[in-house]
Amino acid sequence: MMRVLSICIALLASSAWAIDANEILSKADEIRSPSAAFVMEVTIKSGEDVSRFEVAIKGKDKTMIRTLAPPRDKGRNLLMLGDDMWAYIPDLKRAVRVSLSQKLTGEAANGDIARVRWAGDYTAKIEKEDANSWTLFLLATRRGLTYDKARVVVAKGSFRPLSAEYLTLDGDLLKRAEFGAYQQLAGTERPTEIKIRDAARQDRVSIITIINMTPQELKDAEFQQANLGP
Amino acid sequence: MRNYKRTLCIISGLSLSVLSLFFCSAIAESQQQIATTRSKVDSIGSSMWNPGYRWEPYAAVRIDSDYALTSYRVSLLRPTVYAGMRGRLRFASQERSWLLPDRLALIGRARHMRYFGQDALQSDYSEAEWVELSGEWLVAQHALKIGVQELVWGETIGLPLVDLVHARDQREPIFTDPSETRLPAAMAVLSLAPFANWNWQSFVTPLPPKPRLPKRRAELAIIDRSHSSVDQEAEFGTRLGWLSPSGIDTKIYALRHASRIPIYEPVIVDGQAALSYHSSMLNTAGAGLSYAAGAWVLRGDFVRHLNQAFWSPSKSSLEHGAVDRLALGIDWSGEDTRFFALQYSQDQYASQFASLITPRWRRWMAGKFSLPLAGRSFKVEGLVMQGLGHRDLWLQPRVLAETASGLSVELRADLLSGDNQLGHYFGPDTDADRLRLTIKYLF
Repeated sequence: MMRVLSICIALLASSAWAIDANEILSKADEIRSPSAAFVMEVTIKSGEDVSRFEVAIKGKDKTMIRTLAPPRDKGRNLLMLGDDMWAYIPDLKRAVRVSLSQKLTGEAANGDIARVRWAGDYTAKIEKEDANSWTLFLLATRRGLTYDKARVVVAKGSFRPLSAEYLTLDGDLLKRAEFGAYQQLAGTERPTEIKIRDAARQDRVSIITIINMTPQELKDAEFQQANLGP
Repeated sequence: MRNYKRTLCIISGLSLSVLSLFFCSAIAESQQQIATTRSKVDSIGSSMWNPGYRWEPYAAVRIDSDYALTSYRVSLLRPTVYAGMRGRLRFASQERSWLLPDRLALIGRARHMRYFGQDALQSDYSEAEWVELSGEWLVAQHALKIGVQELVWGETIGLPLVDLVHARDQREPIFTDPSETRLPAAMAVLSLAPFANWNWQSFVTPLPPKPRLPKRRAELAIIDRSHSSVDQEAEFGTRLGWLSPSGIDTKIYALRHASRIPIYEPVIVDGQAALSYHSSMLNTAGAGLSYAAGAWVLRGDFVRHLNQAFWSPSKSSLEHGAVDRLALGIDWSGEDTRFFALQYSQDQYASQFASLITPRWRRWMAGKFSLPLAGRSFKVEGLVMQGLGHRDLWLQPRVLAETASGLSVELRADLLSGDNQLGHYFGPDTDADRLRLTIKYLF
């Protein structure tokens, strides 16, 4: 009897202490970026090409990306509202609808910058666990997101995202991402460098560098198609 | 033989492009200095979204050289030097009131064009204008913008079906991108977002500019008997948009505006046959939608011009009737800015126009692609627009070379063939093939 009781207590205790995969994902999101509104400046280096963007994010469904460099792309601004995205095309002088999975530059998709939170977009389950990290398998909660499936490695203790594999719906590997160069940003240590490598062509690499990140109050009015113009 | 000549033109143009790139690489030497200056200017203000002000300068210089492609001959038509600059001074505040809104922006954009005439009919001339000179007040999710500006409506790419807010430069509508033929106007634009996912935009243009008309059409001089824009009626319109939870962006439109198709009456002036321009107001209703799924985007626009006018030679008066225009497109964007699009479009004319336009249904199918080469430095693009059931054919190969520093060289050919009749897309430009070399530098 005592043995059964002790097993039950042990099981209850372990379940109480076990952390849910979606909770790990939320904590990893908190490390990637602040949950409220913030503005960051990022560069994306793909080969010799370097692009610079100013990104304003409010919550998980409002993002405005302004292209600052190179001059040829200046004015190609992006607005994301929920799962929908528009791009301002300077040649047309108007905003047109685009998809989240389109390439922003190099190997980086629009969603790599515009959607910096996994929780909510994906359901997670722990696929693997070792002494230092969890490997989470993510499945998109709906169609139209940047990636249909992903595998994310999160460090135990710190909840730092370490790496990710982005997969097609069939499970084929599209890209690999490494999160590194952790530095103080907006009050905590966050990854300032994300290296995205094409799975088929390993030489195709884009490096997203977060230059600065400032939490600030952003008004809903800023996130409108009418404000996309230069 | 003509095709052989065209090929020669394209090859010679490509060679010119390469030479131009070499020439312009010398300019790149000064890039360092420009970059330093720009970074100094950028640092005047802080982030776009921070309280305070921000000054965003921008300038561009462009040289266009147009060549006519006629049998066995390539002739330089007209070089154009274009210079434009833009500045946006933006103030943002944390405290809100009607005097001190969330954001106040003053926007100025000007352009100057110098055309060099190449024949006796056209002498050199310049055009300078404000493309934008406006003030914008932003309070909560509502905005009011007053001043000279451009307002562009429509979901499809290519045919400007709903892009009806502005009068147009009609001098070379086929050979000029729709965005460049729009004539900026002094207007008030009110944008409201009363509920989540709903937006409502309205405009009024009290004194709309008249379209810029060509000097001649089909060898006939064009005269304009109205004297100034004061003769024009005010234009106004409204658009209601809703983004559904499923991601379908739907918009409905209603506008009152001058006809964007110039209407000409044949007249005799001083014993010479000529065309007299008529301004005619019309009411338009329309709808548009767009939907993104993965790398694919669906787009559609529909407009009904309720009382479009055409000149009826048999009645010697304007004939009014409905014209429906529809465009449905699908496009795919892939890696490295690869782009492919298909678009079906059709025009339908009311029975009143039966004697003027035959058949009353016009259909076209268009395909467009963009393929980057050598990273993003070179781009090959193509447009094919084919009439369905009629002879209209528009081929537009385009080669673009651009550097990250802002220098670009573009060679574009427009090869048109079809019926030169009212109602056909190309109208008087049918069989007027053109080659354009553009060198552009963005500061």
